[in-house]
Amino acid sequence: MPAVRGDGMRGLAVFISDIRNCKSKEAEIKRINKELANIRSKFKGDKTLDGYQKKKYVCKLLFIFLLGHDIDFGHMEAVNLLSSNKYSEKQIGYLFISVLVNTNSDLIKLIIQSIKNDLQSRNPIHVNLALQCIANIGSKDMAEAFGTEIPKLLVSGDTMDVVKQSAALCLLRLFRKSPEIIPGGEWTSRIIHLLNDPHMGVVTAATSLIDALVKKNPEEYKGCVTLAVARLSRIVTASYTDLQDYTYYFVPAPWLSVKLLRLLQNYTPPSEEPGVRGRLSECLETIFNKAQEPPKSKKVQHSNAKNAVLFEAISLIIHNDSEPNLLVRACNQLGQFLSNRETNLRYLALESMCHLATSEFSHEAVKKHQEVVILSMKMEKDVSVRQQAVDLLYAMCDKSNAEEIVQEMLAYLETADYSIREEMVLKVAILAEKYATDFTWYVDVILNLIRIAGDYVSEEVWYRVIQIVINREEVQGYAAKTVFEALQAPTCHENMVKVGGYILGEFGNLIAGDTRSSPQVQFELLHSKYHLCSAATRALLLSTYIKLVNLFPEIKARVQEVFRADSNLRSADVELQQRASEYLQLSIVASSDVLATVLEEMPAFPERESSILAVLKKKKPGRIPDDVRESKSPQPNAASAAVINSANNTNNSSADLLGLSTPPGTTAPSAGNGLLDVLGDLYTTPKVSPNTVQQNNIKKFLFKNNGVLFENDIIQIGVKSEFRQNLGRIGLFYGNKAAYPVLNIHPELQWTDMHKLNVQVKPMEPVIEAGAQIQQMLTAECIEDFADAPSMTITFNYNNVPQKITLKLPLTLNKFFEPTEMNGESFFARWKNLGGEQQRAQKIFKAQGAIDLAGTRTKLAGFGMQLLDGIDPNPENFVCAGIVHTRVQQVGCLMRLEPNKQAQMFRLTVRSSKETVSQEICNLLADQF
Amino acid sequence: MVNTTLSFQHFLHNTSLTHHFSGTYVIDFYYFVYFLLIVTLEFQMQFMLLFSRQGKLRLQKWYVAHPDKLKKKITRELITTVLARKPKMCSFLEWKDVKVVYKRYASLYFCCAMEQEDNELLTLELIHRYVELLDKYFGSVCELDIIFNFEKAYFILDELVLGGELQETSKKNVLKAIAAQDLLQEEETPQGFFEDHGLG
Repeated sequence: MPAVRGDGMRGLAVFISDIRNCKSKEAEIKRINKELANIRSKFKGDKTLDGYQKKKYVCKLLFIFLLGHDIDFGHMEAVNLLSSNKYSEKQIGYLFISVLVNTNSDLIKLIIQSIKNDLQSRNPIHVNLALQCIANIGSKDMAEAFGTEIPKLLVSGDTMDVVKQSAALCLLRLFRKSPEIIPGGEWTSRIIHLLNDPHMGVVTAATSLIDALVKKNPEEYKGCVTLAVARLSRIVTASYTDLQDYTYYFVPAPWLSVKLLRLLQNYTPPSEEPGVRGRLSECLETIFNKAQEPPKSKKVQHSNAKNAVLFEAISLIIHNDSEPNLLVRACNQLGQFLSNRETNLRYLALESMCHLATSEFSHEAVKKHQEVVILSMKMEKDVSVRQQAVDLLYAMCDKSNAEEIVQEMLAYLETADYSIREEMVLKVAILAEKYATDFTWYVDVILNLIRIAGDYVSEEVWYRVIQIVINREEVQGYAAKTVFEALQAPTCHENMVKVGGYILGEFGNLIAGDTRSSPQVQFELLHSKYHLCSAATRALLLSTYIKLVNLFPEIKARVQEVFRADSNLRSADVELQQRASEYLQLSIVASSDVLATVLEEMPAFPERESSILAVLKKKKPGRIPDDVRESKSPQPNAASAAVINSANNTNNSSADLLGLSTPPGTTAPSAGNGLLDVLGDLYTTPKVSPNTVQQNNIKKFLFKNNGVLFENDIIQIGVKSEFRQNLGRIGLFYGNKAAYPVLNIHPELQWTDMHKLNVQVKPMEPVIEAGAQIQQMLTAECIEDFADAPSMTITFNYNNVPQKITLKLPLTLNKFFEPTEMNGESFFARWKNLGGEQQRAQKIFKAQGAIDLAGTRTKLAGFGMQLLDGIDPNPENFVCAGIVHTRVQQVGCLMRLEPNKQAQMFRLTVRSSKETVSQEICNLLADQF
Repeated sequence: MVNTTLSFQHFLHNTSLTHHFSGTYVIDFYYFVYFLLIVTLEFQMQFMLLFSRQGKLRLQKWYVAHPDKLKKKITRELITTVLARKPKMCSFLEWKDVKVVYKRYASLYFCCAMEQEDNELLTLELIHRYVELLDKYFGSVCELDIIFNFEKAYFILDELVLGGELQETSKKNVLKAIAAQDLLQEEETPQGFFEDHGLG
């Protein structure tokens, strides 16, 4: 038995020895139960126990707890120990409490009283014991009880350094629980100035505290930046002997350095003070230079500490994302680590590079390491490192290297660890979709995915390939041919059967000309898999069969035979039974015309963000670099049907306006308003009032993309538009409400900011027959932020009277918003950072009638920015965030709208990194509520 | 008990981890204790565990309030996960929503789970510093020292890390604080001495 240090408790040591000598788990439990019974009786007994005995028993209880047993008594005795005048007893009491007492214990009041007494002690060791207990428990009660005491301890000149350190961390803990305990005002600067404290331990503890305070209120603590940079500069330029015991294996104060570098990551680079910025750059350069120096020690501790600082410096550089040369230097440094013999360094380098890959400055530099990264993915012994390599490949992928990266990932997938397969499948699917220039390649990739890792291909993935094939005419034949070939494999994954079934059902006709894939062959091939599949797949196949009946009447009899089979018509599965009987009836009763209508080719799917991406994001929040190379769904085929359908997706009361143009075969959206109604009473004689330009209510289109743009007695102009990043397409629908045709219709566009906004107008028919509707497509690209919406002059002849309409197009800057989700912390951090004169715009305006919060909300929801709830302390205020996409740049934009019900006024503030954007967004929104 | 009395000192002073990783230093797998020290940081540690290669928990320190049941579950699962890892694997792994950092000294793992953002390498060195402190205090620390003096291991940890945050990185200062505590104890008259020797 080793020597017991300090004042040993022999009874405890004996008990521990006993436990260790137990031969079996049962014996151990028996021994513990005996001891528990003993302690219980001692605690309950009449004989008062002295402090030593209490301490001993409490210690035994602690030990039993550490062995994994529950302890439900002894708390009171432990609390008694707190008021002992013997330090060792007091200390054990505190230990028991910090390990075993939970925050809502009934005893908390007693504990708080004891802590109060110890905080008053003259002995710093007692004070620290009390502070440690507060920090360990850190409950709300504690925050209330000591909220005024501890800040005083922290900044008082009399407090000893060791106590200051504890006080700083104690305060941090309480602050996390109850943020209000930190006093503001003059305290702010006193706390910040702890960064200048001569005692390194105090600075280290204080930096942690300041970091947390800054996160809550960056503006208030802004002064810490200059001090932190100064301190950092002193450390990185210090020689390792300067800092004595704070030098760790020849690295000066690595912990403090890292904390300071981390603190600086709460702010954007200090641009207002060029001196500070320059100094920080020097620090970062010095850190890089030191990394290149020969090591001062062979010990791993030396290189770890040195590299820890380096990695944190790189994090700061990535965070600032403003100095291309540092970013590239970081990338080169990390590149060296990729082939380091330390697994840890390789892991961290891959992880850090992943962030670098998302910066435009270093993306290309990261790509240089592609080969090594691919090797890491294949060769690393540790799955967590391989995982990092996969993540990095995903992040560094772009159009130029997509084929190669996807190919390598596919190849690796065959042997990849089960734990990362599902995620890899998602990544491959997303990359293939995002960077496909040739969609036959995309189809190949996905089918390969199913072949290689069918079990890991989730529904989202195979749904997606079908959506894309349906939306893109040019790959449909290829897809049918490829799935047909894939299905010929003797064993193929059920997911392949699903995709194959669906695609052949839709596009089997495209390959039916070839005798090798004649209708019969297609059907029999599919049906040969039928019996091996689950009910869900069978149900899908039954639908395919009826579609095949429509496509190829010649196999009708054979298919009917399958529907009639007992295993289907009398299937125990209700769904199968129903499908079999309904499809059978359909094939018997329906004429070929009806069949063709019912089983019309699927209309194009709404264009939307890949659902796979959503799955991946959910799996790995924060790990998907989603800024620059965000995946967007492919362009649907140019057929107008696709566009119109996709527009239907934007749910809006007027979305069904254009239901007219929906391709046949789909259920048309409920026709109830707008043009349809108008067209309903087509033949009522319109009162023609030429040249009456009815109100072109452009303003309402700020908040929606679809609706009636213009209407008079002759003509109604509807609009449907959709926007993606800096691109938009606008469909204009001209309906002739009157009894005679509209002739020579000619729209002409004028706008001032032609270099900022590019609009292409597709030609259209010059005539609209009475009661008919024609459409015109426009595409828009936002090159730079613009203020003036284009206007359009439409001239036409009606009943030999020339008419002229002038209207503004609903093409305003806000259409190019991408909503941005963010939490309160980052919102306000950004808000503060965008406080410059050039970045703000503000307007105060009168409400239109009574303030209607719900209405305002609805409007804002349609404006394009993300409405952020629960962020503003005042629940009546609205805050929104979004990114304006233009070809030249992306501009982050924040907005706050504060209603004042008494005054019936609104105050609108917009902040963005670009003055003109703030101005324009502010102008657009002013007077709208 | 022979196996556990071997000291870590050897590893602290003579063997660097590099040797360890490169496999040039052969260690009898069973002669040493696995320690697992798990530290989860939310910029701060969430908890710390210490257990032997057999999966026996030796020390646990939680900096976040969890129900006991959850604590037990986390402990059990993490021990299993880490013990299943091979020697040359990376010291960091993503586990649930935290990043676990662990380190093995003489077949001894020290490990921390922290917030995703935090600095892995320095967490590794924080563990090292703790081992150094234990070693200095006990003089060639071994598992038995920690079993029999677990309260001391706690006290040392409390000086190094407070409320989940690093408090004092200076080895000298921590040892000074612990020495001051011990001094206070020695001033007290040892009571119960007779009792413990069967005379009470």
